[in-house]
Amino acid sequence: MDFLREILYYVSIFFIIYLIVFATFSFFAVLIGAYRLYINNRMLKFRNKLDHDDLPVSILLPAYNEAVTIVSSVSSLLNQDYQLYEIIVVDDGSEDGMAQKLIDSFDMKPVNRLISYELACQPEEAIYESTVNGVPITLIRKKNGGKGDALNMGINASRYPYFVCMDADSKLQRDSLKEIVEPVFEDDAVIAVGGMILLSQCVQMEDGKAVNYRLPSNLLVSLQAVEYNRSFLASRMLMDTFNGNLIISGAFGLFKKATVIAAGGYSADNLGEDMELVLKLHGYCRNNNLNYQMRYQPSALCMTQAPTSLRDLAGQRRRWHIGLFQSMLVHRRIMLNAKFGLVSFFSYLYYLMYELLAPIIELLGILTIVLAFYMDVLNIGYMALFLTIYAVYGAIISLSAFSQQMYIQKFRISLWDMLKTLFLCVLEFGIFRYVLVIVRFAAFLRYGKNKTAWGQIKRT
Amino acid sequence: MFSDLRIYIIIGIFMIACIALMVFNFAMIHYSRRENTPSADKIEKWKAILYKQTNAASDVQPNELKHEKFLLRKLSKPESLIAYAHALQYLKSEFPEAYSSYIQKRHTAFQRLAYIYSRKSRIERTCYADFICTFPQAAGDSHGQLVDTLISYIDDSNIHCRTKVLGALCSIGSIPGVANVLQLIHDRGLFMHNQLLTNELSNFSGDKEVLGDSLWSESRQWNDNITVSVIQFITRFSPRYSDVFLPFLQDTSVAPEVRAAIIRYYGEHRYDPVCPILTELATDPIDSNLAAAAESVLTLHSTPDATAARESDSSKSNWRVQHNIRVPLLNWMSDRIAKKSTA
Repeated sequence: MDFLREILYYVSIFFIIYLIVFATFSFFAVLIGAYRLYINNRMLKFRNKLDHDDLPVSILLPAYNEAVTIVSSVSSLLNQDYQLYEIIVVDDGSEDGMAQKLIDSFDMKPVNRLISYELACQPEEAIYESTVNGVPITLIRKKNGGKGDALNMGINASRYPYFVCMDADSKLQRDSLKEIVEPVFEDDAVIAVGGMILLSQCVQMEDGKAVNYRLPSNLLVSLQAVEYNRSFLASRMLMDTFNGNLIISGAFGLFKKATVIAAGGYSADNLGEDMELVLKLHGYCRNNNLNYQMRYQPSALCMTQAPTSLRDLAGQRRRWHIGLFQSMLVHRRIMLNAKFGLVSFFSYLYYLMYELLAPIIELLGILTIVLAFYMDVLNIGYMALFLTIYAVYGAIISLSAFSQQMYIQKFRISLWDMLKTLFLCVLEFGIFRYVLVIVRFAAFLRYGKNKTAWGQIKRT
Repeated sequence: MFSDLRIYIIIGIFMIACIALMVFNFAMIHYSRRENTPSADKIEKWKAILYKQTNAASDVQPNELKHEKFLLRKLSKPESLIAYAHALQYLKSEFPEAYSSYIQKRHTAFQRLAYIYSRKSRIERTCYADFICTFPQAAGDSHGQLVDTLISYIDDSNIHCRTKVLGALCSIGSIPGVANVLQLIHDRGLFMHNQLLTNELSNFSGDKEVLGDSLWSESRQWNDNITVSVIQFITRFSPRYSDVFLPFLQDTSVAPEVRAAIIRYYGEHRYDPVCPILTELATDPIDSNLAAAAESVLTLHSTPDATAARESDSSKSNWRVQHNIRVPLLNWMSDRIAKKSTA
């Protein structure tokens, strides 16, 4: 019994350290994020902007059974304030008539075109082309091979030296392309740039510009909005300061084609192909002693649809977690490897402890509390106070990240929405987080089922 | 008990820091709403001052010296400079003559302001360079002191500052100024994307042919990135360089990116004597990028020799060359078929 008590004592020490490290990380993430936003805002205010729009960019839209959204997605891309870009839609063996919808909507014609298979992928079945508003659109129909495989096909078919990967349901602001290429103009070493992802259900668009932000009535979407702000803005801005980001979202990211091809392109058998590519690029550049930068550009906005039902959300998070697991496993050599510097000793360890293993650690924590209660060694008052303070602390961090987001985009939110946000932040940090813990834990248990399947959520 | 207390202290510190952070965030949001765009009031005040000074709306004789002192005092703050720029833009569009007369009398003030800004941060220097870029008439003489001061901004500059300084010098139309900036960029090994450089050079307000000649004569001492930009700039407006570029295209010691830029020049400006060289380059197995670029330009120069060369090379392993060969061959064959059927 004493032995068990001793174990419980050390476990409690571990959890206090674990939570304090997380709190410190969140604190610095928000603090550094705030400082960088202040500098960015000052630069904008004093017209420190490059505003060039002629870096040739290929937009890749891999899609599977997206007949509902694909036409509106492509249409929205045609209205970019950008001179030189093409759109390539890769139909990864859809069975819902998606390709025909595109062909009909944009008057596409079959073409005889050579594709360089510099990256391995399933072969093309047919290629269609058309030009709308001066923007070339290419549709490639191919056999089903997964999202990574479709992206590799898009890279092979692209004509320009940089490509932007997007989800088929994502929408951009009019100036998003101009914003995302800016780091490339700033520094020759930039090989990848991540954009800011917002939930389309929260953003009101007018003339291709996000003009208003409102938390929707669907509680699940609102909770995700709060979570997105914390994870996308704060933590990525912190890691960006030392070129340590491990994820550039597949919903909106810009890459230098030559480097991606040299590194081997997307992995076709990974559910987290976006993270896997970023890890691969870190590995390729570090192993070849290349000077490189992967940047995060919060002013480059992309709107994506959030799952509206718990079932869809669980499916999405399951895929994300398996993708995270696969990517970190494949690139495990990064861990504690001096060659990778802070990427190894900070970013990788953070993702390992606070993302990948978090569901196990947090469930273990709950079990420990139950065990301690049974053994009558639990100081309930102390524990309740500690967890309450922790939840309030986390809520304040989330609220800070949320207000930063409003600050960057110059959204005005009502007092009611602010109060709602405060409530949601507490709910997100105190309850929603734990729901996701269970979902992600289940992902571990069901690992192996549909490991490379496309994610499908109900589109609206 | 002691360890409990310590934990409370740590948590307490975190909470205080976090609340401070949140207050800071909200304060910043409020501040930025107020400050991000110059308020209409500030712009209106400047408009009134400009009206008075240009005599556009009143008969009162303005006091030039007092106004100059006022400008130096107020415009040394970038916030005021931006509001002033809005008002000046209004004057320029509504009363162009009054604007010209007003701005010509202010050269000394703008020179002094350039010096004042040279001692400020990069962000503020960039702001002033942007102002000159928008109102190049403020600089007066393209060889004047203001040009030298702007060039000095390149010391300890970031990419935004360099771009705006170059933009300002191009707006002013100062050839020595532009050449000096490119020299500094080269000497100090500063980065400037070649597309960015080309775009800024293309906004040159003076004689572009003269600028092109001047930059090309000096470009061989600059790095390849700048040389490529100069060639791209020349490509946009001058057909006079067909002979000049030819020896550089043939010289294998010239960097491949420079030769590729020259090839693209011939894509824009047709020049038949280059076809044999391009045909030779298109069959070069060493540099596939040059081969592909040459091949794509040859598609625009569909001479019988070039077509024959392409037909004989249609078994090449480089897919880009294959692709570039296939497209014109298909067009050529369909033309033949069409002609036959018409006959």
